[in-house]
Amino acid sequence: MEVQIGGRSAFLQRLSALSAAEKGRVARVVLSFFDLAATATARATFYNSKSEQVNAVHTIHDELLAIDRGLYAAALLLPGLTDFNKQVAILRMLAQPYDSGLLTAEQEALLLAKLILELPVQRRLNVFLDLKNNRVNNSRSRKFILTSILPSARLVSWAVKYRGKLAAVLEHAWGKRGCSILAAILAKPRAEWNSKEQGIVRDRLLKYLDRDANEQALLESIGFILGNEKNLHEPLLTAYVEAKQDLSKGRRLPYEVLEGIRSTYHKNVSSSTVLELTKAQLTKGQRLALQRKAAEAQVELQFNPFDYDPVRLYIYAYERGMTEDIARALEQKAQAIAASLPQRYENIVIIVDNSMSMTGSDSQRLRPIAVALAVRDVLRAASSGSSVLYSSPAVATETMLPRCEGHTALAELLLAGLRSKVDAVFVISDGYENATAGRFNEVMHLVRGLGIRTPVFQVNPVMAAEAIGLRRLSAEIALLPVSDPQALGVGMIRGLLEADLELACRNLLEYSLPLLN
Amino acid sequence: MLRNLFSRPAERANGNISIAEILKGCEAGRMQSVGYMQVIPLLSDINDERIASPDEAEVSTQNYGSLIFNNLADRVVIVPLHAGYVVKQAAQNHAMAHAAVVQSAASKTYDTAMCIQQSQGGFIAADKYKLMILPFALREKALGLRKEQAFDKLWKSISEFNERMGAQASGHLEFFLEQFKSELDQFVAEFESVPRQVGAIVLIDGQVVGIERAPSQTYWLSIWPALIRECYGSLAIEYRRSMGDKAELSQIRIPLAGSVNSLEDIERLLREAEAREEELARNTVRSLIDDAFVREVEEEVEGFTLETLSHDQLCGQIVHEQGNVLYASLIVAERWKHRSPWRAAQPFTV
Repeated sequence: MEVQIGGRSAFLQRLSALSAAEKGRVARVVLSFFDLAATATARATFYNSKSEQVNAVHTIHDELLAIDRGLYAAALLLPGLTDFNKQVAILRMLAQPYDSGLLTAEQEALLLAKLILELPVQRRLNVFLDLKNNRVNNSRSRKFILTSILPSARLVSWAVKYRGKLAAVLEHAWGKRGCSILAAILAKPRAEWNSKEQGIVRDRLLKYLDRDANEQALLESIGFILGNEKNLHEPLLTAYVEAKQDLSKGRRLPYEVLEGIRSTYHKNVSSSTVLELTKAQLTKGQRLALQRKAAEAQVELQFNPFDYDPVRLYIYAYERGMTEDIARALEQKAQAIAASLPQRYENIVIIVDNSMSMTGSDSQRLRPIAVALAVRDVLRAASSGSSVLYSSPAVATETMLPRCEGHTALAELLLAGLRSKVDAVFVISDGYENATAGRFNEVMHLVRGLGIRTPVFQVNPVMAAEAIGLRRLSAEIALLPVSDPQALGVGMIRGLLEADLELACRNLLEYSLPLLN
Repeated sequence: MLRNLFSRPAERANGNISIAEILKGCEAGRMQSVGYMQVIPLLSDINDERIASPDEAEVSTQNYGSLIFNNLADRVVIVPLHAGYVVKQAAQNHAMAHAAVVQSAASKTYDTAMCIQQSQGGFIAADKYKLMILPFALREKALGLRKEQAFDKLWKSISEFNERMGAQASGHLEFFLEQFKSELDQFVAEFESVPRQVGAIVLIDGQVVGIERAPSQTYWLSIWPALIRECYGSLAIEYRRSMGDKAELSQIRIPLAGSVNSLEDIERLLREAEAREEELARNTVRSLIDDAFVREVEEEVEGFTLETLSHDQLCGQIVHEQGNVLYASLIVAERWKHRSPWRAAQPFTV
């Protein structure tokens, strides 16, 4: 079904009627949202604490929602929105009842469902727990909770992985009393349920299932989540219970679940035994993350680099070394992302800041340089000709992994880049210049004074929450915040926002609203 | 050239030691400049890995006013001058009033340490903690008190410092650190270590305020965040506050000025401005006085000697091995503010 957005013209008219000052404020808020949308995570960066990041994101979400619920919704549809931003948005939109706007109530429900289902399950559960902690318990919230959990074919697996969280979330939806009634019913064999109990199970659980879904798996999983460990038949659930007595019975469990059981019930057994037992169950992410541990424990783990995103591959390559397979995967992924960009270039210069700060903070170690290199690859793939200049050339040889060392002096590189005839200059930098601070901006002013209009973009892979925005090398250049090269296209659209708010909002709606389909 | 200053002839026969000797084997790297602060990296191929970084020792307290360092390495550990530990547990934060040399694989207790958290009780459990270096404004005071055994000896100075900075006036250094956390964090990001770096000359608004040297690049990387954040970062904040609403541009920041007609012209302007800034900074370093330091030996461990140095302009401590300086931390003395105009003054003539 194609979604028709009816309120678009009315919204654009309202926007057009705003005073210059009001438009300025809207532009500031939308730009700040763009800055944070694609980069902010709830983790510390080299420069900002976790709480600064979190506060900055909350503030900008509140501001944009206060301006216009529809514009907020359109912005949430942009590709590249980080999971943390999705979590914050879901909480906001469920806490505040629908009134009116660009989207109808049904369309907004579609948007919310899209955001919820795009989240990995553990983050989805965290959002639902946030609803509980913020005492948001309306019928919309309960519906989203139950429809995104109960019909899932993966519920059994979730039950062993997230038992505690699921119990808390379901208690929020059904209430304590509702849960205890359901737990008591599910603890009994199905044949012993009376008609009232059958009705409760039908209303609470079975009505959410498709006709051909596995009823027994749902009933056992919910019973298990609510505390039942007897008369189980689902292999994962029985493995969980039996592994408490005999660790080897848990080989079909996820690694982290069995590791949790080992650390509680089998303290004398080493964790490498768990790795060996569960190696067939490891997720793609775990296969990548556990390579080092596996090597130490002499457990062989296979992983396919083509299954991972370029940023994770670069981080892995920095930690464990670049291989031909990884290099091939990176090249292929860069080509694929480049093909989806709204623009291609003939000839560009890419300046990569590989100064020391690009190593990132402890909690996001190597992420900024990994994003920078992934973006570099996409830009190269998106242009017929390109040259790459590094801020620390002595440590950036022809290998794919330049080391991050030294100071940040980008003004000289900018001049070098502009010397040849190019379509655009992309500077991939966190924006912290120190040799000398402000020099890049001065040079940009002089360059523009000469009448040189070559577009210069700063791709910033790090969020700087202190200014509710990113560190910008110069007011004369467009800033593209990017935490994932997939979002580079959105960054390019963002460039327009700085020039013309109305045109930019029109483009934003045209670009993002069809994504509801 | 600054390089020549550092490679002057070796130690004088009479036992005096000069800045050139303290920085022997180093050369100056490219200056970094943000706001009022400038840092000239000191680069060297001398990389003495016989000295372990301070983060290789476990730190603890068992009495108020004493710090215990348990050196887990099989090498000597130099505890940097005015090392401090602000811990998250319910225990009193402490700092050292002096540097220390801890024997390899041994534990050593310093009863001359100071409490920097007045009304907090409890002892620090033995573990590795993030290093902090006392704010610049407290360092000279602490150095002067290095021989006193009194856990509360720095409280008054901390309280005055806090009050001056607009934080709650009491002997709790963490009040200042919390109030200025984000500003202090910025300094770590803004001033980056460079390859071969073992030290730095730190300037505020073009004036030298400190000279730091480490025995190796690894050691340097372990102390630089604490030096730039709490020690010199606090001084930059204090200086900025004293400047009020004036623009935050250092006296030695040369703007790109002049008419340009081509990219080559801009490039030339840029080169000239950078060269002039470097020259201004280096002139300040060259103008460091060459007086003889008063030297006082504090301790000798496994052939390494810890000494306190002072003259009209600088005070601090060094660790040397038969005259070869491996570690140095020297700051500009408070008295220099009053004496420097007299040193520069010309005799009266008519």
